[in-house]
Amino acid sequence: MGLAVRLVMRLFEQAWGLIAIFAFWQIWVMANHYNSIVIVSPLAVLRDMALNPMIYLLPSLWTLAFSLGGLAAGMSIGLLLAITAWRWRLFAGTIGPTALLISSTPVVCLIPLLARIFGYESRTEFVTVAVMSFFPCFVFATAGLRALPPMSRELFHVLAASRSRQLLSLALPAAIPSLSIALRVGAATSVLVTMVAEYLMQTGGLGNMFALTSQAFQTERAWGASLAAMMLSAILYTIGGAVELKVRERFR
Amino acid sequence: MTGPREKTSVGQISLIVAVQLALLAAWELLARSGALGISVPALSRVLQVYAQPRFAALLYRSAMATGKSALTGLLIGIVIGIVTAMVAHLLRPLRPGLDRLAVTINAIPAVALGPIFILMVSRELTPSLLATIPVSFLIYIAVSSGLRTASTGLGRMMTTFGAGKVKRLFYLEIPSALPSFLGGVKVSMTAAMIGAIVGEWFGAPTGLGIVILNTMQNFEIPLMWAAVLLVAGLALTGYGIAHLLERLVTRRFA
Amino acid sequence: MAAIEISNVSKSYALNRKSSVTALQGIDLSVAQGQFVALIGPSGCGKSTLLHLVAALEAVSAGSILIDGEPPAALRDQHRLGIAFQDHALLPWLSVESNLALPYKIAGVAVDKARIKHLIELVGLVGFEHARPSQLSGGMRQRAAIARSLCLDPALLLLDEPFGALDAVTRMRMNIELQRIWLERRPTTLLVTHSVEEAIFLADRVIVLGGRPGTIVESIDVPFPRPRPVELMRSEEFHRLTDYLTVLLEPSLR
Repeated sequence: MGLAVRLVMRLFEQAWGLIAIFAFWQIWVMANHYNSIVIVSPLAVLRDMALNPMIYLLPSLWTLAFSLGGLAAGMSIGLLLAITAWRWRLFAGTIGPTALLISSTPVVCLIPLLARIFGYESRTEFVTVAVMSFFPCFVFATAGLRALPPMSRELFHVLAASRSRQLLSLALPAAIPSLSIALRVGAATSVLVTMVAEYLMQTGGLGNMFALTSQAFQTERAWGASLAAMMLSAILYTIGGAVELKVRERFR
Repeated sequence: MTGPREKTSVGQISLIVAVQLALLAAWELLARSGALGISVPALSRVLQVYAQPRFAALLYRSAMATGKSALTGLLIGIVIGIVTAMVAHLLRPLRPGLDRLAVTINAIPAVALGPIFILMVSRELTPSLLATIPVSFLIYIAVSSGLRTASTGLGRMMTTFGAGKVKRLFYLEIPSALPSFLGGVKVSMTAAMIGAIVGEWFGAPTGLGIVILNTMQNFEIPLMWAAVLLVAGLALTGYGIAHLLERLVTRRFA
Repeated sequence: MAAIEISNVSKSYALNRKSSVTALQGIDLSVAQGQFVALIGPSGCGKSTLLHLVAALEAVSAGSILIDGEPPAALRDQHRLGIAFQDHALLPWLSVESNLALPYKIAGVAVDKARIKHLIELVGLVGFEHARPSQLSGGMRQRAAIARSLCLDPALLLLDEPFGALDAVTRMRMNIELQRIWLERRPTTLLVTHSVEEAIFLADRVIVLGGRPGTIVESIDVPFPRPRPVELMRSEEFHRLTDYLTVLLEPSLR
């Protein structure tokens, strides 16, 4: 009995905000007697998701695959650039301004541009997410490669370590905590950016599903697609956070 | 980037500038030779767009609209972010729920929120509101983590002097949170631009987002590039201003 | 084992384009093979700088340092140098065992598992082979750091205030253990410390440096036979030597 009460309390402590939003939404819809084409109640959305799980599953997996693939590619490029900048200091200065320009360009603006260059195809989703995630990874990795344990640089110097040994045994492990932050931040956003790209280009996935169903006035399903994307994004953020915590324990 | 600050010599700076110029020259030449396809115009053709009065007027009008939406969103977002972070800081039991709420609201896809805002408020205000959401999230995260960084030693000292919760907040925690807050403002600049532009796609009358979308569909490639570069320039300017502010404050409080 | 020949060494740092500060001036010192030499002096006298010069971490401004007739970098490149700092400099993501294997990996030679096991026994860390530095106490971390400095059986061992951050009791215990460990192979050793007792208890010879710019003030041979028992620290002769050196360091105590 006591345990059950405590569990409910814990849940409420975490979720009171969400419960309030859902309740407000439900009451608002009921009070205004909106037509279901314009706006739907949360219960209607959840019912549609529960009754047709397969319809949601495939687009979700599609979106997930493109966000994670693009994220992996973008982060690899960012890490490689950071290592190059670590090895040759001058390189850091020469790519810095270009990288800053690309990164400060709001990524959604690049979607039309990239769509023109790479075509209205799924690969453009991939490129968009890669472009979005490479710069934060580059910044975090650059800082991480230099956040060495105290005196360790001197130690490696006295032991006459080669540059590649310094990179492998010292700088790269030291950069892992920073990289895990980049992963957490990137994972959650990548789903949302993929969804915008899919919405604009109608190439598939949850964004495409949202576009098609809202054009067909299937409002429950359109909102269901958004809810699915939210859940994906939240799950990735939570996983990323857990990874970051584990990494921080291991590397500090 | 962090790390030991090393002096850059004049030779290095000129090399960096030379490399940037070489990159721009390579773009110009490759695009002219047609190697980059029809979707990448030469830089000179993009720059010519700004010189044509008709396009310049359109871009100016649109930039003003987008800038206004982004700035409105930024200011509202900053206020919401700070207030929420203060509430979470002073009323501890509310914090886990607020954290979760913030993460969830930030995870709502902008394409899904657009239609709701159009319904609830208006087409004109949707860009500002879509800019508000990511900004309030980023500021909330930055301020609440900043408030927590206040040194516990100083906190104990203030408690020993009999300072209450509110005094501690004003004399210790708010000053310690300032650098983190300004870091949040810096990343919010781009986020506000993104929100404003996605918001415009849902049918705002003017704005750079509209220009980009229309030119994409009408194959007016140089104008599209000119608009995208303008967005980047605006975002970069905002980023630069926030960066300067941050450096000024960090020097004072660090 | 190596012998060190330091002749007329000076070291100065440029503050800006016009002025510079001299850390060491006209240092002459020769250390015989297998000798344990302690460098003491007030803070800022350049004792750590001298050690860094011998470790080839910095270059001399004038004069020369020869180790077995060669510049310090030669010994370093042969991986025959061992070093421990005041900060343990253990890599936090590696276990004690892997931290001890690091010097072998850096030198590109096979990891000598038997030697690592022996060193872990020697410094009394049996049972903690798989612990990570964050799970060890300060004293245990320093033991691991000293074990690591001995891995490659160095010709020259450099100790830069290795116990400077430990409490007095742990420090005394570590001194006794360091002597026991050192006696096993008796490598030529330079120890930088600001504790007069530590210097006298451990060293064959104590060099006193005076401050700004650092010069050698006194060099005395420590007469006590080895192994030195703890009781030595309570003997009259030990106290007489301690008083003599303390006054040299701080003339106002005379």
